Amino acid sequence: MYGYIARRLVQLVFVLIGVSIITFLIMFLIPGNPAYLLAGKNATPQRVAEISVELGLNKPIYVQYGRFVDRLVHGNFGESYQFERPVRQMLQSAIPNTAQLAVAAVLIELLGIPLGIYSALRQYTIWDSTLTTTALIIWGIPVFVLAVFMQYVFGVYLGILPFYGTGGSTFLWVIPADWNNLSHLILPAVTLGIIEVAYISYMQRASMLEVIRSDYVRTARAKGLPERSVILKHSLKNAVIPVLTIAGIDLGALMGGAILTETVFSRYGVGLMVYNAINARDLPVVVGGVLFATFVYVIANLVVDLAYAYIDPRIRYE
Amino acid sequence: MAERLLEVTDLSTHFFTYAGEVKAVDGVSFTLDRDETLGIVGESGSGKTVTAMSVMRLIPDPPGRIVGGTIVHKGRDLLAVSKEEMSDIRGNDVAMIFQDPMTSLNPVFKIGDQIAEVIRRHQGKSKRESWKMAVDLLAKVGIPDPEERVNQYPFEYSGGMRQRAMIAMAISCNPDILIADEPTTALDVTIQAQIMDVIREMQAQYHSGVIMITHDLGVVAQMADKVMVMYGGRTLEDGPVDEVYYNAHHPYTWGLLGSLPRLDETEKQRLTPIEGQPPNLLLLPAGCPFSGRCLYEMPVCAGEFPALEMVEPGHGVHCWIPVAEREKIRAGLPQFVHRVPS
Ligand SMILES: Nc1ncnc2c1ncn2[C@@H]1O[C@H](COP(=O)(O)OP(=O)(O)OP(=O)(O)O)[C@@H](O)[C@H]1O
Ligand SMILES: [Mg+2]
Repeated sequence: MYGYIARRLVQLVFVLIGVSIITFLIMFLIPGNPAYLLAGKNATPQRVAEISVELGLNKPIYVQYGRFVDRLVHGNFGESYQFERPVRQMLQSAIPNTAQLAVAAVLIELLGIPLGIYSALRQYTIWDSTLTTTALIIWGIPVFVLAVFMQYVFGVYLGILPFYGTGGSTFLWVIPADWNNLSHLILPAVTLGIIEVAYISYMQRASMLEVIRSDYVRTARAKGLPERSVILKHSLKNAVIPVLTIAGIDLGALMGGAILTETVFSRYGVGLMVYNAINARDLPVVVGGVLFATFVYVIANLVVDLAYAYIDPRIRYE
Repeated sequence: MAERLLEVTDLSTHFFTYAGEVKAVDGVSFTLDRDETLGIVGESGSGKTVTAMSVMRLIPDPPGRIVGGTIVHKGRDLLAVSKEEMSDIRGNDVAMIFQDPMTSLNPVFKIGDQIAEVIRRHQGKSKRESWKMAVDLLAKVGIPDPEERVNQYPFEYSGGMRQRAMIAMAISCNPDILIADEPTTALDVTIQAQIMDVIREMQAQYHSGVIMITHDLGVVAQMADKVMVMYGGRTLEDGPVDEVYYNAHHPYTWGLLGSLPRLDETEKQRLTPIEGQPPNLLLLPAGCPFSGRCLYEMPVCAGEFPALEMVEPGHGVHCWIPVAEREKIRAGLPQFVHRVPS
C-alpha cells in the first residue's frame, strides 16, 4: 500500500511538470509580447525593452521556463494585467468559494450511491422505474439550463433563495457559518450536485445489478448467509468500486460544471475568475487558474485511487 | 441399508420469461443415499444446474419458480420450510461447488475470511476458532502453506487452488449432501483429476452423498454409483452406472455414449457428436424432448412423454420404443460395442 502511494506521488510530480510546460508554452506562443501589454499602449520602445529585460524575455526559452517554475514553486503566479493584483491574492479569495461549491456538490453526488443500490435491489418496481427515469432525464439536462431553471423557480418565482453572488462567512473555509452563506450555496450546489447524483445513481444501479447476479454472490447465498450479509458484505464493496472510478474520471466534468455554475450564479470562485480573465485576455490569471485546477484534479484523482486501492486488494498488491 | 439423504419427486422448475414459459426442469425424480454419488449428465441446457439450484432453493425469482414436486431431505420437505430455515440448511446440510472457480469467490475478501464465515454462520464458532479451522480445511484439500495462503485473496490463487478453496468452504460444516456442478469444466486436464480426487477423499472422510453434475461420461464412470441422463428438462434414463453404460436403453444415452472418446482407441480419440442442435426449451414438444433429433422417432413420440419403465431393478427409462426393439437396435450399433468406461 505504501509503495503504491509512493509511486502515485512520483507520478503526480511528473503530471505537474507536464502541465507547467504546457501552460508555459501557451503563454510563450500566444501572440503579443507581454512586455507591450505591461508597458501600456503609449510606451516607448526603450521602456518595452527595459520591461523585457526585467521579465527575462530576452533570455533563452529554457532559462525563462526555469524562472517560471522557480516562481511557481515559491507560490508566485505573477500579477493580473487587468487588476494589477497578484494572482495569488485573487486565487486566495476565489478558492474557498469554489471549494465550498465542490465539496457540497460531491456530498450531494454521494447520495447517488444509496439511491442506485436501492433501485437495483427493487429492480422493476415502481420505485426503480421512477428513480431511473428521473435520473436519465436530469442527466440529459445541460448544467446551465438547469441553473437558469433553478434560479427562476427558487430565486424569482418562489423567491425563497438568493440566486446570485456569495455572502456571509464560513469556518474552516468551506463550512457555512451562517444562513446568509448557506443560502447562497444551496442553489448552485444543488444544480451542480443533482446532475452528478443522476449520473452516479444510474451507474451505481447498473453496477449493483451486475454484482447481485454474480457468481460470488450466488456462492454467498449458497453458504446460507443471511440476506443482510449477502448485500452489505458481499455485494456492496464490489458494487461501489467501479462507481468510485467513474466518479474519479467524472471529476473533470464536475470542474467544468463548476465553471458554468459559478458563471450563471455570479459566484466569485476560480471558475468565474478564469472565465472573466479569458474574456479580458488576462493571461497570468488564466494560467494561475489552470494550474490550480490541474493541481486539484490530480490530487482528487489520487484520493479516489487511494480509496479504490483501499477497497480492492487486487490494486493494492500490484 | 444406507441412510436416505435426499428424495426428489416430480420436481418442476419453470422460468417465466417475456418469450414464454421455459420448462427448465419438468417432472424430475431421483434419490441420494449416504456415501453414494449420483452423476447427472446431459448436454448444455438440459436442466442440470437448475435441478441443483432447485435443491438449494436458489432459483432466482423472478423469473424462475419451483412449480411442483417435493424435495425431501432426511424426512423434511425443503420446499415447505421457511426462508430462514432454508438458509440454516444451505452451506450446512447441503453445500454446493460451482463450475467457475475464477468467479465464484468474492474478489475483495481473503480466502480465510470466506471459509471462516461459513463456520461462524453455522457452527457459532469464534473468529479465532473458525480461522484456525479454515487453515486446517485448506490443508485438508491440499493447499500448500495453508497458514500463509489463508491470508491471501482469490486473485493470488490459481484456478485449481480456488476450486480447492471452494471445496474447503463446502465441506467446512460437514454437509450431508455435496453438490458439485461441473467442478472441473473450467480447469485444465491435469488439475481436473486432482480436484476429482479431493472430492472423493472428502466424501470418503465425511460420508456425504455427492451429486456430480458433468458433461463428461468418463467422470461419471469414475466417480458415480448411479447416473441420471437429462435432456430438455426431463430425465430420460437413470440407473446404476454400469447398468446404464453397458445396457443403455434410451437413444439419447446411446448418442451420449457414442460421443464419449473410446478408451481403447488411443491414437484417434474421435468424438461422434449427436446429430442436431440442443433443444430450444421454448419450442419443446409436449412429448419426449428428444423427438425431432431421435433417429428412431415414431409418430407418438412428440405427442406424449412416455411413462417410466423399469428395465432392470433400479434402471429406469422413458422411451416409446418397445424393449425388444430397443435391444435389437442397440445390438446393431457399431460404436456402442466396445464402450468400456472406467
Ligand atoms: N435465470 C434464468 N432465466 C431464464 N431461463 C433460465 C434461467 N436459468 C436457466 N434457464 C433456462 O433453463 C435451461 C436449463 O439450464 P441449466 O443451466 O440447468 O442447463 P445445464 O444443463 O446446467 O447446462 P450447462 O451444461 O450448460 O450448464 C436453460 O436452457 C435456460 O434456458
Ligand atoms: Mg449448468
